[in-house]
Amino acid sequence: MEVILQSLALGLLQGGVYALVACGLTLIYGVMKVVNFAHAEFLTLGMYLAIAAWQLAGVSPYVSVVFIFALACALGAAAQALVIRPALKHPQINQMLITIGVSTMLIGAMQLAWGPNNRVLNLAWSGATFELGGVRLSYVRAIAFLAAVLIAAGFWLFLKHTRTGMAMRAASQNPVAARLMGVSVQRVNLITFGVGTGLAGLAGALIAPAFFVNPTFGTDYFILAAFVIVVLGTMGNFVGALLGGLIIGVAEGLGGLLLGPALRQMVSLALFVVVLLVLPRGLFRGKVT
Amino acid sequence: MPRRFLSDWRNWQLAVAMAFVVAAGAAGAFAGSDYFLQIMVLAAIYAAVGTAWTISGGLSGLLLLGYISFFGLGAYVDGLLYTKFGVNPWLCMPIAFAAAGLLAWLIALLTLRFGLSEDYFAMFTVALSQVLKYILLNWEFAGRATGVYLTVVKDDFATLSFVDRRPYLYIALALLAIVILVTWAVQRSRLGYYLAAVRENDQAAEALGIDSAKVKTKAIVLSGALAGMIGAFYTQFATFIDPKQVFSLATNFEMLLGPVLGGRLSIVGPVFGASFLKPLQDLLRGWLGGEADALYLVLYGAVLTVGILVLPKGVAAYVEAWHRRRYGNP
Amino acid sequence: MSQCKPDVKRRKLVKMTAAAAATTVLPGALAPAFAQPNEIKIGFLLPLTGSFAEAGQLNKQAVEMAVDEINRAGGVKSLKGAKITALFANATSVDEANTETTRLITREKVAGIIGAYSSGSTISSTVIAERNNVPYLVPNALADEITARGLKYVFKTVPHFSQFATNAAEMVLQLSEGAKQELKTCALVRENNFFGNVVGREFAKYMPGFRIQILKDNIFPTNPTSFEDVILSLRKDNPDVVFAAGEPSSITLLFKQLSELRYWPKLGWVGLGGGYTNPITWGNLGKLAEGLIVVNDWFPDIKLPGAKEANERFRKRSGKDMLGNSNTTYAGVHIFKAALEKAGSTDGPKIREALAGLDLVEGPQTFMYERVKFDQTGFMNRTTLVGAQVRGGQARVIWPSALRVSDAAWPVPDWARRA
Repeated sequence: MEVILQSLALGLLQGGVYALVACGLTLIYGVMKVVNFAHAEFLTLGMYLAIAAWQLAGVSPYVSVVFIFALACALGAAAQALVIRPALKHPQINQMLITIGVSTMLIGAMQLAWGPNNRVLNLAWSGATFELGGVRLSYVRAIAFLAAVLIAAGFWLFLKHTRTGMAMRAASQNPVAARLMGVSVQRVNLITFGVGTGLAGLAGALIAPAFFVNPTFGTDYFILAAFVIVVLGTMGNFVGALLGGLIIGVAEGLGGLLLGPALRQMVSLALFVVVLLVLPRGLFRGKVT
Repeated sequence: MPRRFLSDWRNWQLAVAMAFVVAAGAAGAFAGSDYFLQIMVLAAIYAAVGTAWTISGGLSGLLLLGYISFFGLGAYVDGLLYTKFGVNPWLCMPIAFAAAGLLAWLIALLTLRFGLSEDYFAMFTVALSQVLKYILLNWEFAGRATGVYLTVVKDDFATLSFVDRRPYLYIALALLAIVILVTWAVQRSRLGYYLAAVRENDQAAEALGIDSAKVKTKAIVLSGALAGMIGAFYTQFATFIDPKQVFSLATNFEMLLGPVLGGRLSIVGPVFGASFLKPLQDLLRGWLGGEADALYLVLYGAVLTVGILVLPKGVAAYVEAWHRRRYGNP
Repeated sequence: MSQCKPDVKRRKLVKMTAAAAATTVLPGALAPAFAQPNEIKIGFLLPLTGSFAEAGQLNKQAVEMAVDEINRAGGVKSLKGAKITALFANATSVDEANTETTRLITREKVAGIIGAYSSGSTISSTVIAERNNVPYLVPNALADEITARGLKYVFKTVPHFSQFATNAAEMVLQLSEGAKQELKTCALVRENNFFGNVVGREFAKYMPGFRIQILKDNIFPTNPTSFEDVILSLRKDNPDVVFAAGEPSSITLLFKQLSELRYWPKLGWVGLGGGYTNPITWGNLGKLAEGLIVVNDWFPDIKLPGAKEANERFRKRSGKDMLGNSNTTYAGVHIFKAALEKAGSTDGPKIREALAGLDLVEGPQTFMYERVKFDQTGFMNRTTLVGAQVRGGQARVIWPSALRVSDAAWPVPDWARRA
């Protein structure tokens, strides 16, 4: 029983990490209906930048995260203006393949900059843990979990109560009507994509101490889970992303424990397939707030 | 060839594509180097897969993004039936055709029954390809991560094993020719008209009495089955397969490059697209050498991105426009 | 007008054939010149990018070191001092390995191939070499199948998979006996990749013979983001020793979580093969690797002549210890050179004959191999793998006693009792 509890606790923490990674994706997907296959690369980039800041300037990732967020935002916005916006007029398969092209370019660029080898960010307290109710939890993951919760709450408020937030919701529900109502869909898209990729970079910076990085880290480790969570939690819904992340984290942890670790990833994929068929609009049935 | 025949865009494409296949065969017969033959076989395989994809991904407008499921399934059908049960590889190809067709039919059944919309359909097919990968990674009989391998040290036509690369090229080109013919036949048939109608406007087509689900199912099944058949051949050619290789998402997207950049509504698009892009990729890798892999990735991504932005309908759109001017509107 | 179409069609046909011919013939015309008479080309298939890039790059430096040494010492004397030129080809997938092997053989006309690191790529590319009568030396891929198919041109210097099971078991049993500890149970923690799968098979086969019970075989997928299920499982089963295999990436994550969750097996953790014996892994793990026992063919701190010196030379060149198959690759180049000397020719069949008949007890490779001799299948029988313990980022050989340079700390202290 104790093992199950421990697994649950760890699964929740892991779920927080997943949710943090997925929140940027759900924003972009929810508002622009674009499947951003390059999302993982912004995550990886965030990790690389955090490591660089630490190794070159001794700045902790929890400080550099602010700059990394801004940088990733800017990069994302640039990508949006140059590449994504013209692609929006094209059929969806083209949009998807364009984001794949961007993803490939980013992987190549990161490999040119930092080489293909693994790099680690070893803070003195990277592996530090604390005990909560008999269960051992890692600080780094706990921080990521907290960040995910805060971001989910923050965005929920943002989307509901601010003008930009409402503009985003309008644009996501009906771009034509939104435009008629005076919403600059172009501006909304720019902000959305920028913030979405910014969040990915932010996630990277926050989880860097707990993992290692190489150019294909994001794609290898997180992208599939991120998509599962986005669909499960309903695209565009931050609370959904949080819940979805937690569900996947726990499912994988418990699944791995009960079925054997090799089938861990099968759990989330199988869940994905089922959700797509049975609950395609996610837990919140298509509602964003 | 009567002008009337060629004045039809589809017929013209058939003629050109077939001429290309024959020319490639001739070039292969005289090519001195195993290296180029190797590249040509892979190009032919990609061209065949790409063209087969257009039946569902192009003609029907279905976002069949995770296409490699069928290819990988076909590869394993041949690999396992041949190495574990001694089933003749020539026989494995039609069996793989049927098996992949069955998988495609199941996918169509599931997704159409549950009414999956475009985006979700795409993600479903991608997720499914990875599910298959994990199933095979954990299946003892299929060798798990150690995969399946063949040992070929002498020519044996009966078991589709050759020392020389040339016979593989001829067979690959034959498969390509089959795919081209089937695609052409579909485009010209009533099914083709229905698919085009469904692609343009699903609901309007339904209103006209077209059973959109049935028509889409046929497209997916045909597309998938053809990919399975090619996958079976691939195993014989590569002599080693493992789940990460034949269900790789990276390979999946590479195979779709040909039809998307070439023109997914056409026949010449995927054929020439893959025939140009795949060798380019292999040659670039060989010339730039190991470490320039990163540079290669950047270039490749840039070509993909810019290419799609600049040529959203693929190169074939321009060729079609030329054709229309040349032959007048029939 | 009926006059147009045959012209048009023919023009198209000509254009098409020209295009097809151009893509095949032109690049051939631009091909590099044939090897100069005093140059011997050897092809090296390595994963220079991708997930195995770290090892690939290190192995590349090992090759360069060997080639430098050979050339500076006067090249291959029986071939009038011909120098060796190493041609590196990237092999990150089976298709790539096949394509590059074909290119090295048919266009570069290499005298031999050394590669390809991953078993899958090696299994398929050796077939191509066999067809073309080009000798292929395998100093890095472990699959038994490589030499089990009756291929005459394939030679393998790394151990068979089964030895990882048998030698590891012998080692832990001897260590435990020496420390007066009982060792009855073990658990496996292995990655679901080629090496991991085969290791699992071998352990299942051989452990009963050693009277060690396998409590649980934990297989984790590649690219896992968390090992909590494995670790919780281990804690529940409480094995005496853990035998593990995996890639550097997974090991890094695994050990981070092991220390977070404060789990450590009763007697020790034994890491098998490449991923665990990679100095980059130890560097990434830092203090977490303290006390880890690793098993592989060789470590610099071993009782063999010239071992330390060879390692020093490599360190100067690459900044790292000569591990992760760089040692076997370095030795492999020297072995191949010995065969070239013996053959006195770059003719494939002659080099093959030379390799098959080699029996070396002296030469640069003695830092690692006391005797180089291939059996009928092309496999080089080594007596044993060696075990080393990581202390302060260095691995010192602790088993077998004939080769050991230090005593083992066994049982290995767990997290709480470490400095």
